[in-house]
Amino acid sequence: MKDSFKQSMDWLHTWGGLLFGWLLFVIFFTGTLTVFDKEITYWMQPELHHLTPGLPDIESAAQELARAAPHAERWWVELPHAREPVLKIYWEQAGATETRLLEPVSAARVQPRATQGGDFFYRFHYQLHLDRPGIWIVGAAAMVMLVALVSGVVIHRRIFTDFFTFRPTASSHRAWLDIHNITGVLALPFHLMITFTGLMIFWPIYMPAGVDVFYKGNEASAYAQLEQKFERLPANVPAPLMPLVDLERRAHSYWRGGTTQWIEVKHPGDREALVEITRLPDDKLALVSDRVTFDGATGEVLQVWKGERPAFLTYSVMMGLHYLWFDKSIIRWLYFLMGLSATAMIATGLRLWTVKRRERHSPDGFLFGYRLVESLTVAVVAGLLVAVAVYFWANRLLPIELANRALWEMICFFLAWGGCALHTMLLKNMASIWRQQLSGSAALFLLLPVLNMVTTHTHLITTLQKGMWILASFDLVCFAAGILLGWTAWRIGRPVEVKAEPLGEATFEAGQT
Amino acid sequence: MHWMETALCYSGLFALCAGMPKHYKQIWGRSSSKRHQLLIRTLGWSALFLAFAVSVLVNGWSFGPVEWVGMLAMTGLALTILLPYTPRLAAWLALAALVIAPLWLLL
Amino acid sequence: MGKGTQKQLAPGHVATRVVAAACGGYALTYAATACLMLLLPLPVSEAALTATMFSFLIYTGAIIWAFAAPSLKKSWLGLLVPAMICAAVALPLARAVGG
Repeated sequence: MKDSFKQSMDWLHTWGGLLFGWLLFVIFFTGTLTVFDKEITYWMQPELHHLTPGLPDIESAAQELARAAPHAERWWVELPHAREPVLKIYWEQAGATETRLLEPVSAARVQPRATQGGDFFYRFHYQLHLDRPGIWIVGAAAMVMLVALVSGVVIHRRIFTDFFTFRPTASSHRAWLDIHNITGVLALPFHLMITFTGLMIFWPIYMPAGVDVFYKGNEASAYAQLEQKFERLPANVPAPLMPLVDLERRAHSYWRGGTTQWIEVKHPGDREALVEITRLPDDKLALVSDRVTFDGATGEVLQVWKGERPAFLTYSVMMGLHYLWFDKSIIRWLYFLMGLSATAMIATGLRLWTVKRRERHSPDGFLFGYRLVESLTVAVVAGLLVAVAVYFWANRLLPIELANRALWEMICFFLAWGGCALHTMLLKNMASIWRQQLSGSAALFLLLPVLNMVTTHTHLITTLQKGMWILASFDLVCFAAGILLGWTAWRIGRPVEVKAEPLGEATFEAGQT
Repeated sequence: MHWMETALCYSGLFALCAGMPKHYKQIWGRSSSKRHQLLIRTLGWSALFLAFAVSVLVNGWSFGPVEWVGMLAMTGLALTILLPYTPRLAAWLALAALVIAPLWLLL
Repeated sequence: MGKGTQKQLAPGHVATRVVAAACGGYALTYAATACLMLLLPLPVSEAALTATMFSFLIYTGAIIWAFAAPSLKKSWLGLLVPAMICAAVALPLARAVGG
């Protein structure tokens, strides 16, 4: 398109990066938060903080289900685990699914405040809260991300010699370019992997050739063949259900260690009832849930399933790498940090677009196009940070009995974000807008643990004393975020001294378009 | 053991960095011979391979490489951010990490 | 497609490249993926998964080609000709499988 391959890739990287950068920032930031989605949900439900772990009372859960939904088509029991210490029961009746939360050991009902918790970020991340069309949009953004990563490597002049190069005192453009490069290159394997595996998750939607060719376009039958679940119709003849706790124990004899995650009962109380015991996939990289299926009325073993075929295992490893179901905290924290690195790469890329053009064209003048790009960047980047903090504040401040409480938390989030967007139109000085919004988010995050102290019993002092690390980490990360954002806001305020480059060499700048 | 891995990653990357003429000058203010640089870089690669071995030992063959790649990225970022502000501190950290980590193991 | 140091790009040219990348690229990827999964000597679900893994790499390459190709003509032909070849191979095979 341009005179050389590199110039074409430069153009593609710059414009693809700009047009999809705001969307990709949101996707990567919410994705980074989703790394700790269950921990966030736990923090947002203080009513669950007193639950002590212990052997879950499966039989009482089954009795609760029999009481609540004796004629349901399906039952589920989800057992507690390290990241989610609550026992959950679900049932499906007349097309609708209901949930109840129980204490693990006593199976007594618990009713924490209504909240989407970390799932809010999860749904934002993969579908922007827009269901199917949202999945499509995120998929398109992911493809652009792949192209941006590849083109970025192509145009990076000295990817090995500049591997450790960071010149914060050089010109504004060079400093931002350095940050963009190091956050990109040092974690490049992660960025490529997470984008690719993300696309693979929704392959029947993004690349339905497989579904169309072999399954006549029927997604459900494609999944059915992958999972090979045992299904059969109800007989409409009543028969008592075998005790679930016995079946669960028997399932373990087919596995090498591990714990149970799900117990599913299809057509409970029917002669053709099925009980599926699924293993928690928290100790393998491949996201495969081994499964034992029993006849619900007789207790006979009907199917023992382990994912075994090579392409399926490769696919499962890809799922595992993205979904992060395994129980390895160090890797989880590394993912969080690398996700922040990717988010920073995108944000600095957006910043770079404006900085370079300002330096070249009109440092002080007002150009509508540049102003629009800058406003969008502040609104999306700083605004999102403010909105996330407000979401957590809303969780602590909204009355517990409020109707549609979970929806109201979401509304607060979007109102805050909208407010920030409006704010970008009020002032002329971009630096002031950045400073104000970043300071705002810094203050909100710094004060969140304090708010926690005022509104709950499981605040930082208690959680540190009792060793409740999930909750303590949340408050500590908020402190750290507040300090980091505050420092950034302060830095933006100071005029930067441009020093001669300490490394003493001229470097070709990418992005001549 | 994870501290050992972190120390080896950081020190290894530091060595690879210091083995580059422009960064050697940035840290110690003078140039060094090509042989010297080659030696430092070889030590660096060895440390990184050792870190990989430790990670696989502790985490197994599936999680080991994943943790190693992540560890490299994060220690690399930390090093790169320290370098322009306090290059000597970055150097001392590399040395300290290599000394303290095995001691920690023994305790 | 032209000499000179800094080429000014007509918006129409850019738009055509974008359409080529998005739609032409997708057509090529779909056809190539279908072709690949029908030719692979693997069980059905295995072939589908394997070919799909390659599809995202193919699409990335196709998008890069759409923008890197030296002329608009080469950009489109480079996508559509392989797409048609793959479709020609895949269609009869797909019909045989019943898809």
